[in-house]
Amino acid sequence: MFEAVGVHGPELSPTAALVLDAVLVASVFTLLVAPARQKTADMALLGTLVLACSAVRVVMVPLPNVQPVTVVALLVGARLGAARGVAFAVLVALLSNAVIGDGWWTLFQAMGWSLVAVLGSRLDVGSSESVHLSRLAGASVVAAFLFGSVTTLSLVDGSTTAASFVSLLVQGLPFDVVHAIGNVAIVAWCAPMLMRFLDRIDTSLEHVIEVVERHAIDG
Amino acid sequence: MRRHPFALLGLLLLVGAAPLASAGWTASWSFALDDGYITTTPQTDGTNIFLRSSGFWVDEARPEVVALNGQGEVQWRVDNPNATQHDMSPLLHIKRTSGDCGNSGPSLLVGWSDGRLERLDPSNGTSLWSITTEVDVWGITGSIAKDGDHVVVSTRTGLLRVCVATGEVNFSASTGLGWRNGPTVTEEGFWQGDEAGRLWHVDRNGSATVRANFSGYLRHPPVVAGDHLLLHVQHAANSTLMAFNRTSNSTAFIASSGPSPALPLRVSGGALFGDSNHLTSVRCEATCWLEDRMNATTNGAMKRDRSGALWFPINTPEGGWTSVDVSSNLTFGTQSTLLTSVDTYGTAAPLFIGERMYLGNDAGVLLAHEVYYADPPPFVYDPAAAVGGAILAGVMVGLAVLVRRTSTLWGWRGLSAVALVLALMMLPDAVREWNAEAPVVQGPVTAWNETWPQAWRDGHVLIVEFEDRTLMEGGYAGPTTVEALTRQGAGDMGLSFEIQDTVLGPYLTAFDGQEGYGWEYFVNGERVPLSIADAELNEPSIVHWRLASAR
Repeated sequence: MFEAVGVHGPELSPTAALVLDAVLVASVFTLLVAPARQKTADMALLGTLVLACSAVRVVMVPLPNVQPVTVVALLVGARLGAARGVAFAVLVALLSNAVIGDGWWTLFQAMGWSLVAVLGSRLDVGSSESVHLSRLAGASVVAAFLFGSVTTLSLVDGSTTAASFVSLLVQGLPFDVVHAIGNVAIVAWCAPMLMRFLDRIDTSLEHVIEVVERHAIDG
Repeated sequence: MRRHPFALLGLLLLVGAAPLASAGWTASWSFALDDGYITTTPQTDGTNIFLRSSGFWVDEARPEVVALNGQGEVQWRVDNPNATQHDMSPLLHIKRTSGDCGNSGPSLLVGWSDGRLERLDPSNGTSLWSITTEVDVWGITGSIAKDGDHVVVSTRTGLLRVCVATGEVNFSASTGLGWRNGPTVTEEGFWQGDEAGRLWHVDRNGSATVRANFSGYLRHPPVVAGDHLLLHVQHAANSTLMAFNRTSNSTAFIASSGPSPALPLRVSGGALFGDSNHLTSVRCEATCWLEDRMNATTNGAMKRDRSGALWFPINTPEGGWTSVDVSSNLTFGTQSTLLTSVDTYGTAAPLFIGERMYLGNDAGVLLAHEVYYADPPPFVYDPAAAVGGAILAGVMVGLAVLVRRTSTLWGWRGLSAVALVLALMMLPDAVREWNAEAPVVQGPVTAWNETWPQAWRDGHVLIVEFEDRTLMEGGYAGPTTVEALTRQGAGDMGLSFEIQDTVLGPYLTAFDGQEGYGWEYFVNGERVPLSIADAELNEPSIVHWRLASAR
């Protein structure tokens, strides 16, 4: 094998790792805590989801690139909005990597799942009574390749050319395909249950933010 | 009655094929030159095989160079209508060169007995350039050596340094009358013997001086072993093994041996010598000494296979090939003989490409052999595939029933779960196949460094780059995979290493206990997306290991 397990990019110094984690936590704080209308009960439920997903990710490490977090990020984005979806993605990446292994790649995994959450926020997945499973499954396939592309950026350095980046993407395709198939399976088995759970969290915050965002864009 | 010729043919085929299936190799195909002998070791570009013939002037037949693909089909052939003597200069394949005199792509360098040095395009045999050197009965008969973006060739009466890209002559030095006396490249210049027993040194400006004088013939390239040059001096009825110290200009006698020396083979710490009586190993440190000796008859070239065993043709009327295990301290172990249906005199060493071996001899037949395992496990029916298929079929039927009795959702759930399980099971094989075809990821280019010992040029170079130091060793001719080279080279460097077996193949996790965030390797500046066991080295290569964090 041309590289050992765990090759994701440059090793960070302790100070750099601390700064990176601090930036990520601050972004989460900004997204979740700063808005005054965030309810404590909702925070607790979201926190529970973060902990559960982190634990599941750690447990499923032996299965190469089966990533339940991707589907959950998609659903959190869809049901709770982009801001809380991004916060969820960053927290899961930070927490689970604290066990699996923290480093430069954490930033790109957080970015990847954040983009998936943003993708979800633009998606109508129906309600817990009537989940649009085929649409969700399709989006989860797209999300797998989106996540794979973003995390490949962690391998980019000064010597990387456009051609060599494409080569890296191509080399990762088998793993992205497994990721996509895993996502479809997770959607089929878990999406209705996750939707019911997410419906217990108040979505009003996101509605306000969405309105503000749209007004800003319109303006 | 018509059956009899077929029965006889079948019997002949059986008798002819029977001796081939021995000693771990089995014949797969053969290619017969119309006329001529195969006296020099075939060369390869990793896929195709290039061989040359010498001898035979029947009708229009002349010595030629032939390119075959891996199935033994002729790709092209080029003959030399002006050849009047045996052509015995080994071919030299060069993947590419770059330097001040220009960049060149793949090249096949051919020295002809009519004095021509020619560069052929290995893909189609087109002559890219050709230069003429002096002829005194013979022209070029010795090996050609690569020297950066140039090649160095012993002409009949001197030494020539030529740019590979353009064919422009860098210098032409006059030395003594030579025969099969290929040059050796070192950092300080070039070494060459002659028919008067003189050891010549030609510096990089082309100035030639005699550095030692032996009574006999110096007919093969000197072998570099540290500060020493090892020489096999030929006499009328015997030979002597000598060492020449390049620093002190002193000579030392090592041993007497038999007549008609073979081409010596450089190995780590010394060299292997053959002749009509013996196979001899010599090691050097501050001095050089005879390490081991066994009876053998070999007067041509020798080569080591991927396991490190030494192979050479038996140059007798009965012929055949001998393989000998050689230990790291150059003692000889178990030997075995491979007999074929076309055995006769031979001087060409086998060519190894992966798990294939190509043998050529004076019969003018190239035999392709494939490795086989002497004690294959008895055939046992493995029901796993049938059971797996039955389970899969059962699951599908179950899903269909489920969908019919409940809902489509349960069908999708079952189907996606089965697909995921199958994908995970297939992933290791899929990754292996996919990466073999995937485009190469360029890494830092590791080009030949002029400060490295010239003796490394004919072998692989291994570089292990830590954060605080870089270790390197070179001149390895035996290893044919990155794994074999790494194991041997790291051992010579005194480095411990850890290799783990995984479903994707073995991967290296640590040198000297240092894991970092993984180790990655590059072959000639290109990252190879294969297991180190699957990454083959078919020509002298530079393998560079570094920590993945070192970017």
